[in-house]
Amino acid sequence: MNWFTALPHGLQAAALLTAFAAALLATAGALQHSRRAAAVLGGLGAVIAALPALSAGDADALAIVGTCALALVAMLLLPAAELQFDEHRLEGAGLILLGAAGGIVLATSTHLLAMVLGLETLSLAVAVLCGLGRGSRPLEASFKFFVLAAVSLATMVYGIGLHAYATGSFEIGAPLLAGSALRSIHTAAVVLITLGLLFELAVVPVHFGALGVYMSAPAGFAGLAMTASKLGAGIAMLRVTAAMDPAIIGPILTGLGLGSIVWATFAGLAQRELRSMLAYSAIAHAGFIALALGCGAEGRAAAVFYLVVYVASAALVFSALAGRGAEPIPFASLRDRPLGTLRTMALVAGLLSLAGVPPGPGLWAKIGVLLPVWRVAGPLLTLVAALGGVFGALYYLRPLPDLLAGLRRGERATADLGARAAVVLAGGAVLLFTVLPWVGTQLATLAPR
Amino acid sequence: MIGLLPWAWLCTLPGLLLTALGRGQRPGLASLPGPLAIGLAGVAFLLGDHQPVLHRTAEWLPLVPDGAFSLRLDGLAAVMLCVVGFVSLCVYVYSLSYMRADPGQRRFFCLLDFFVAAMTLLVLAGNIAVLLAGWAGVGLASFLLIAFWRDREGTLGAGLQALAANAIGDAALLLACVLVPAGQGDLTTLAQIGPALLPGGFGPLAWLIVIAASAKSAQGLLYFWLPSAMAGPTPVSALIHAATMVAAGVYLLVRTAAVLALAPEVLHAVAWIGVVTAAFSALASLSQPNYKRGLAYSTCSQLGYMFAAVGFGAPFAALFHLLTHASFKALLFLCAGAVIHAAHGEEQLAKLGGLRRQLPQVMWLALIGSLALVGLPVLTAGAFSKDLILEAALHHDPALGWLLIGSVFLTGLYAGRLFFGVFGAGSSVPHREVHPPDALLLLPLWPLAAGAILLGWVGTPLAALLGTPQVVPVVSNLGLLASGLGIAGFVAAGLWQRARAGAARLPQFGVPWLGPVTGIGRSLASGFAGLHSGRLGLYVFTAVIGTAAILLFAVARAP
Repeated sequence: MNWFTALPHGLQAAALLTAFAAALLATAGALQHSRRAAAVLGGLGAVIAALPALSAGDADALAIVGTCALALVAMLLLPAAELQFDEHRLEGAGLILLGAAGGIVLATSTHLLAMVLGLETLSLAVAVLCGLGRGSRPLEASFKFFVLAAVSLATMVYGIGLHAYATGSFEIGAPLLAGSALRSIHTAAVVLITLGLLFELAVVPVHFGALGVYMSAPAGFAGLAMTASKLGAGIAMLRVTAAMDPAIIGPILTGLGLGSIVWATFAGLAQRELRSMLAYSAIAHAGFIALALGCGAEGRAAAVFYLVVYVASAALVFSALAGRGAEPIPFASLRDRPLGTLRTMALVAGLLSLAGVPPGPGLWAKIGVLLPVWRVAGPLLTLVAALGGVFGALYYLRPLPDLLAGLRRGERATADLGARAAVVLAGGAVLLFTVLPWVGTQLATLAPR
Repeated sequence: MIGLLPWAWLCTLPGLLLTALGRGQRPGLASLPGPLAIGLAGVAFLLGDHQPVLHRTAEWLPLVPDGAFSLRLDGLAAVMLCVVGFVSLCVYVYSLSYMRADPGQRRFFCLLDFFVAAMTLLVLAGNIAVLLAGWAGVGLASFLLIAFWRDREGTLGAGLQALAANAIGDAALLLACVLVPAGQGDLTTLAQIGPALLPGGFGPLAWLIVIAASAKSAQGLLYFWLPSAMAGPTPVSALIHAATMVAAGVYLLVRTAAVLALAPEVLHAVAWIGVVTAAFSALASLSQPNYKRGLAYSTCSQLGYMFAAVGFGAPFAALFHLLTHASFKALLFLCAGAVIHAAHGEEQLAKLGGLRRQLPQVMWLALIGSLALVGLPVLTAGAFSKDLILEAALHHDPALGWLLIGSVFLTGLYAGRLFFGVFGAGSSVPHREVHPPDALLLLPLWPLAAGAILLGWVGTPLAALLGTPQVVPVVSNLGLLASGLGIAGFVAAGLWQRARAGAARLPQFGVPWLGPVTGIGRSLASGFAGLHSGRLGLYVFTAVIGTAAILLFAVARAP
């Protein structure tokens, strides 16, 4: 096993996840009739894959442990997932593990080709997971995501080709070969690679594919797509932005970030359905992350804190919604078909955190982003971002009166045991960042300078 | 023991938990000790040696410039604790009766507990970060309580209006939090920051504070949400939208008065905002067909007086009026609740009237509140605090001062219109249908009435306690003139009402610009959302064109 321990932590985790995925698929016949067996085995795989990285204190470890935790949450939600065919649950478990492996490779690689491999594995897993959902909407969203992911992949691969031409290397941050004519080519390469990663982060104008998946996939899968993709791409972007000329990458990221915040805030205000609202809001959050990433080293630290808080809050919201049904969730229906006390309170806590309303930690994450934006991009852009942030509360808080009014109806909504465990896991993380926000900011110090 | 007082904001949390868990036969009973403890914490400080009590946990939020968890209990905060604690207690007791038949009463008391905790945190905040937490918390509670009766039409829209206005204030405070240099967010020492460390000097910081305060206190163009907020239960209107949360903006201005003093142009603007809002809202109150909305505009108007006082460099006068106003306006709202309760939910003035025989106790209490609002000298608290503001106004800017004095006549008019419209001649509610209020509903009105009469006498000792020693005159020539105008307006409204046998009313005007603004917002929202049309070709086109545009931009900028 010496060869295994010699591998970087990211590869170790990816290998373990892939091995568990393969084991799951190999035992398909035996496990096909049990709703829980695949989830238990898959969850075990996610926990074991995270173990080697627990001792390391760097951004890679954060990506590995975070992605495995998200895979565990998705696995806990798997028995409650609304699938077109029940026997696809096992494939679902395998795809969750493969997607997590892809996310980890994407986040921890310094080699651009490995990064593409990770990104594609993650994208394909997300596309297929979405397509497993009940009804025609998930299938349609899956197809569109697949096509747009292909466009994004082509963009990124072309950028990697230009990068290799300009630097003679596939390593991120490799120095430019001699010759001033190559500078423009290198700039083009940086932009194309960045846009490939931004597709996974779901930033305007490459956000439409993810938007459909967030709205239509079964809740557990949508939560994984929304969180693991952003975590993987966000941490990969830390590495990319640290290695590239801030004068090139900075204005692009701040511009796209602000565009995402403005677009998604306005579009979010028009929503009267919970899943759509969460989908649009995910674009606004991606905007905040991109904005922070465009603001140098201080911005990268803020981006990590923002990512961590966002991922925990989004995982909590989707855990609360798991098993609610494949159809859209109009706000008013939350009153008539209550979620039960635990899941209602989890949803309220998650929405408050996403909205940036205390006591949730989202407000501190937003301030953390606005600070470097103020210093790097000036007051006007900071004002726009701040307004986008606070007006986002309007759509997040809109369903709250219905949700709370639903509590008094006294109906006991049944929740799967796994879903309740997922709520407790994600809720614990949000509670931790609420009571001890400095823990989250300590994680921010892991960002590369 | 004194060292624990800054943690008074946690006092309502046990009640919240017990009520949420369904403990206790009567929902809300478990919540009563919370506000009482908060009020007593304020009293304990005021009876002590008045040395500020501080708590500071450094590095609570390392990413924020001053990210300490900082609490501060001083004279100003203690006065606010008394206001919050005792008015809350009255409203809680009142709500035990008012909300008795409501199936959501547990949720109601939980939300009240959350509001009081957030409001107390706001008052005890030592720095901007903690202030922001309390600030956003009260906004959230206000929204949830306005939209409490979700089944009723218009409640969600009203709540969202409040949320939108609050969002503007939150953004301003968020930027203020970003603006202050590291480690210097203490609210009492903001004015000691070197001007060179603040971009643009003290002006931008002062403006941000004023915008935040205006949003919370419904001043200037940001007044629009307060009348709509009356869609919530009446106890909420009394506590949040009359006595406490809306006063938070004034509290912030008083707390940061030293910063405002360093930006004279901002201070002047605050005076203008206050005076114009006071006059405009008084006129708007005269045009309201709805009892509670009439009172809501009155609140905007009185908060305008407080803003003006800060603008005239008299923050103590603003705080003093905040104190007296909390008492008489909460009283007026709770009287309105008793009337509405008696009239089976009827709020339209045209359908109320002649209730003095059916509700004599409520009438006398409402009269005390109305006269305190108008400013009957010597006998009511409102006269003491208003005189102080008018004195400062005339001294600082005579033109604005006379405008403010003119507004007192309007105050008398609208107070009289509301009082005589409900209790004067004419009756639209058949006698047998009036539902008399029970003793529990009336009980908390008496201490508020006592406050509306007696609180004026605490002005002089309060000024000394807060380190701004001055004698609050019992009566002055200016005070007599203003009171005369107010009482003349009050009597004129009564005579008008008697002549017309119905509440007099100007042509209705309220928020004329709100419709077009929300219309533009809706168009933008649906336009942006419409881009997600489901057409794959459009998505691919957007991605490709977007990529090409970004590529061109980057290559063009490349060195």
